[in-house]
Amino acid sequence: MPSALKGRTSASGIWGGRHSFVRGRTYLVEAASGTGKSSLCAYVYGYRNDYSGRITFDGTDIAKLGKSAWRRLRLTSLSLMFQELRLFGELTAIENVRLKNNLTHHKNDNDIHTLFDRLGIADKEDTPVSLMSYGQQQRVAFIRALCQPFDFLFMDEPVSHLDDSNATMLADILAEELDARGACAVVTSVGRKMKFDFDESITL
Amino acid sequence: MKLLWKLLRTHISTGQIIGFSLANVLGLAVVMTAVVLRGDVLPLFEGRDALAGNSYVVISKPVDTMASALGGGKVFTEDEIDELNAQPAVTDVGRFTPSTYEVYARLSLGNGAEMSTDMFFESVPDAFVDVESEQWRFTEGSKYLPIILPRNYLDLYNFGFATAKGLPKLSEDVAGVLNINIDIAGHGSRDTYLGFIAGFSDRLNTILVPQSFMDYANRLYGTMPHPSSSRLILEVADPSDEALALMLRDKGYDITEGDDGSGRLAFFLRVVVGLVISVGLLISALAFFIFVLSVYLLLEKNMQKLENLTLLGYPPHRVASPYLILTSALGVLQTGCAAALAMAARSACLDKLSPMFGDLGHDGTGTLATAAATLLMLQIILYHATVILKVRRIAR
Repeated sequence: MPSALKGRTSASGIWGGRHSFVRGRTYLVEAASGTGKSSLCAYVYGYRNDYSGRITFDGTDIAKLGKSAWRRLRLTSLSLMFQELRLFGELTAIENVRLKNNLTHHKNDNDIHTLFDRLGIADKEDTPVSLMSYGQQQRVAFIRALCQPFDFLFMDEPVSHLDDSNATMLADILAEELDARGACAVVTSVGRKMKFDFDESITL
Repeated sequence: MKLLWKLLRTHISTGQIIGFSLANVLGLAVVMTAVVLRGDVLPLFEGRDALAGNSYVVISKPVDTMASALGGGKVFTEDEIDELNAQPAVTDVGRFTPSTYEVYARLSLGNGAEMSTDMFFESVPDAFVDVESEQWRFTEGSKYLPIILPRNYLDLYNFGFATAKGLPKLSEDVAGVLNINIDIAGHGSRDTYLGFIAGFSDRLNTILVPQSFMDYANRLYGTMPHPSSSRLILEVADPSDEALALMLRDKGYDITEGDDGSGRLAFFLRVVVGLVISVGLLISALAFFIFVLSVYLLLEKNMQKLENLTLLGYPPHRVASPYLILTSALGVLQTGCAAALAMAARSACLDKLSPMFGDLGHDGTGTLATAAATLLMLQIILYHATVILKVRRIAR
C-alpha cells in the first residue's frame, strides 16, 4: 500500500490484500484517480519505493533488487507504458522508438513502420514528439513499450486520449503481441476502457 | 549514440565551456612551463651538471670554551667520517691533515726588508684542490715546496697591507715567482725548503701544501705521523639536499660554504619553482571546480531525460558517454593548447638564458610530454569520476 494512503481502510483488490499477476493473463485495474494506479506501476517498475507491504517477482522481494538487476528486468521481462509517457520532446517519434529498440534490438525497422502505419501515425514518424498531440504521443509510447521482450506489460491509462477506432486498433495489436509472447498485461483505467476481453478486473 | 548526443547536448553552455577551458589552459600551461624550466635550468645550480661541477662543503666541530680550556682537540672520529660517507648526497670525504711540526716562513721583499712569521700548513687530498698546476707536486728529497694560499690572502695583502705600507701590489703571476724560505723543524732536525706559491684557492681557506709533503714531513719532523682531522671537506653532489643539511645541523657541525653559493641558489630556485607549480595547480583546481559546477548544472537541467533513459534500461555509463566523450575531448584540447603555450614560453626563456649559460635544455620536449600526459590522465580520471558519480545518483 502506498505510504500516502496509509491509515485508509480499504478493501480493494490490491492494497491491504494480496494479489498475484500471472503470465499469460490480462488484468484491468479500475479505480478513481488518486487511489494509487500509477503508484502501483511505479512500484512494480522499481522507480519508487514509498510503500508498505511486499512486492515479489517469482518469490524474490523487489526491495532487494539492485540497480543493475532492475535494468536487466526492464530490458527483458518488464515493460511499462507510463501514464505521463516520458517521451523525449526533442526527438522525432521514430527516434524515440529507436532509442529503446537500439538497446534491445527486439523489432526491425519494418515492424516499427508497420506499427506506426496501423496506428495511423505513419506520417508523423519524423515529427518531433513535442509537436504531436497527446493522443499521437500515446501511440508512440505504446510502440516503444512493445520494442522489447517482456513477460509483463503494464499500461497506465493507455487510451485516455484516443478515439474509438485507434483504441480498438491498439487493443488488437496488444492482443497479437500478448499471444505471440504469452505475456501478461496489466492495464489501468480511470473511466475510459479499452475494448478488450480482460481475464480479470480489479477495483482499487 | 547519435540519438543520445542529440538528446543530451541541449543545455550545454558554450560560454561556460570556453571560460572553463581558458582557465584550465592557463593553469596547465603554468604548471607545464614550471616543470619544464625546472628540468632545464635547475641542473645549472644543482651541481650535477658538468658546467658547475660538484660542490664542496667544509665542516668542523665548533670550538667552545670548555674544549679550549682543556686543550682537547675537536677532531672527527672514524665513526663520524664513516657516517658522513654514508650520506647519499656525499660523494667523497677529504680530511684536512694539520702539520705537527714547526713552520717558520721568511720572505725577502727585494729592497732588503724581510718578512718572517711562524705559521702552519694543512693539506687535503689532491682531488679536493681547486688549483690546477703542473707544480702542485712534491717528491721526497726535493727542496722545492709548492704552497696554495686562499685567494682572499692576496686581496688582503693588495688592498690592505700593501696600500698601508706603501708596498707594491702583487698580481697572481708575480706572486708565483716570489721565493719564500721555509724552515721546518721538529724531532731534533731542521731543514730549509724553497717555497713558492703554486696558486690561489677559492675553495680552501687555509695554507695548503701537497698531501705527499705533509705525510712525509709529519713522519720526519712531526709529533704524530697521522694526526686526526679537525676539519673535513665534503664533495657533495647536491648541496641543496635536505637530509644532509639536517644531519649536519643535528650533529652541530660548523659549515663553511664551498666555492660558490649554488647550493643556496638551487634551493631558492626550487622553492620558487615549487611555488609557481602550486599556483598553476591552484588555477587548474579552480578551473576544475568551475567545470564540476557547470557539469552538475548541465546534468541537473537534463535530469529528467537522464532518469527516463535509465528507466528505458540504459546503463549509467552509456547515459554518461556523451558527457564523457565531450570532457575527454576538451581535456585533450586544453592540455594540447597548454603544452603549446608552455613550449613557447620555454623557448622564450631559453633564448634569454642561453647567452649566459650556453647550450641548455636538451630533454625539455620529453619532460613536457611526460608532464602533459600525466596531467591529461589525471584530468580525464577526475572528469569521468565526477560525471559517472552524478549520473549514477540520478539513475533509477
